[in-house]
Amino acid sequence: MKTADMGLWLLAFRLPSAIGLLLAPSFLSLAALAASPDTLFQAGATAYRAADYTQAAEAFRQSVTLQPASGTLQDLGNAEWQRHRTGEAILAWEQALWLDPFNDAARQNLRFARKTAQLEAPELAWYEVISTWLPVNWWAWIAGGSLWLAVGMGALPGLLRRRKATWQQATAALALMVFLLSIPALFGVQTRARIGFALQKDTPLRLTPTLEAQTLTRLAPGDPARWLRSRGRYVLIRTSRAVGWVEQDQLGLTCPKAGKRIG
Amino acid sequence: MMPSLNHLSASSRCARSSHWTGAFRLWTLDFGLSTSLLLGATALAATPEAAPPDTPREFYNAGTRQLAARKLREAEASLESALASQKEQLRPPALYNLGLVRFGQGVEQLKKGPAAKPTLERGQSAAKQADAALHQADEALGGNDLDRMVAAYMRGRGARKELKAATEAVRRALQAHGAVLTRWERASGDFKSAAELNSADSDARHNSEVLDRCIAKLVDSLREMQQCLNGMCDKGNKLSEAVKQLKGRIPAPNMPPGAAGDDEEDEDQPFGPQPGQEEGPSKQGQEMTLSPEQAGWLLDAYKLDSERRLPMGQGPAADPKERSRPTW
Repeated sequence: MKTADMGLWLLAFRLPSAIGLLLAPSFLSLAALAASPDTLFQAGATAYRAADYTQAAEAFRQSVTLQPASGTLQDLGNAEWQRHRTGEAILAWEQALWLDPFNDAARQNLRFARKTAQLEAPELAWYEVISTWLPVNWWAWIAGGSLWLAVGMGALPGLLRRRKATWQQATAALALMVFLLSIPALFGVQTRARIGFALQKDTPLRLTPTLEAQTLTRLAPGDPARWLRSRGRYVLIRTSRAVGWVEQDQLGLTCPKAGKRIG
Repeated sequence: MMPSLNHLSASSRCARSSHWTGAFRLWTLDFGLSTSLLLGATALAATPEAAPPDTPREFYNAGTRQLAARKLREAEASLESALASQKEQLRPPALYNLGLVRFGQGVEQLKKGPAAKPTLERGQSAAKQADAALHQADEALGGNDLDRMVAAYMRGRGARKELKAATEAVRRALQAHGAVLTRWERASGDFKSAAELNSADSDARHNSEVLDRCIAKLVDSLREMQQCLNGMCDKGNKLSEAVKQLKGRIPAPNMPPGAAGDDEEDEDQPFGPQPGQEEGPSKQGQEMTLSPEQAGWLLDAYKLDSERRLPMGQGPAADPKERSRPTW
């Protein structure tokens, strides 16, 4: 399954890497940039079947850069898992679920990976749990649609100088109720966008945002954390154990654009 | 000059240490301490003890006071708490003071622990003695003179004992200096972090440079001790071998007193099992037979407290308290 949802943020996030790839004298990169997302996906799938997981991950990543899709992200996670890059794999599967919460394969892979690597899942607040029930853009559509429906049903009869019918009032009330119910989910989407995952092995969690900082603890790849704020090339994160700083490239956000916006 | 603090009153205190501080600038900062004291003077007069710190600023001030009072462990905890609050303004001065605290801890550990130079000299002296004893043992083993062999044996044993004691002392000194190195490396990191966060903080930069020089000296000393330790271990092994050979060559009647039970293995494992030693026989007796009922009692006795019933009271049963309010 391939969806083009949330394409802009991912494209913005991957743009520097795409430029880097353009400059790199790699044959694959040059060929990949000329290729379409579908071609890249097929190339990745072929490499994956041939057990060339490095090439597969590269192709899937480039395909996702051009066209973010839950299925491609899931495959990217599989390829990264085969490369023993747990952090990257978990991030890819979480991004797959972010785009499509109905992707059961990604969910099962996440569960298996966390059980195998003995990692904990991010702790979600109730409104964040609600936000996982539907794809993130659906909540925006639902909120917008219900609000305009409520406004329309409430205001249009008056503007058209007609008498309000009972069904119109009932529809307005129902739409308003749906709008109000979707607000916590929208808030949950916003807060969930700040959840990230440690990418590297033994990522040091620093007490201060400095090069020679004291190390509070070390994070395993795939450990969840919440982005709080950034300072220079460091980001302040909260994990289940402590609050501290990591380097920006040591943390992958589920929704990378959210990090840029917060920072 | 002290690290600048914006919009907050700060009083500085300069302390000179007698040791290691030829060029080390020891400034401690009381972050708003004078203001706090001024505002809280009446409150302090009313309360016998100052309240434990609660806010990051209070933690910082407490840490600074503890540093001034040389309560280094407490100061470290307080300053770390202040840093953990992630307050931007507190970070550079807290790091600076934390550097001072950890440097001070290292100095204290150095003072308490064995000194490097005498320990090293003792080790070198023991190594020289071992060399001489080895030479004598080689010469004695080359001939058949029994008296020379006994003398070499006695000297070898003495040198080995001294070598062991010196080795242990060097090992202890190595551990102590290693701990100091860890402390100072952390302190240097703190000063560097303070300088990184506040590029105008020349004191922090200066202190980190001085500390790096101290660390370099300490590393040299550690390396020297490690080399000495390795040399002593080698010599100890050779000496043990020579003493063993001498012991094999000297007939039992000619052995000096105390030689029989004074093997190296005995010294190494004074409480360990002897070669050929076996576990003693178990106590003689008959197996106790238990009836199922007795076994049940025994098992009940070992059960956890959750199933153990409390004894009933002997007096009259008391009525429960009357509750005027609903029980929810």
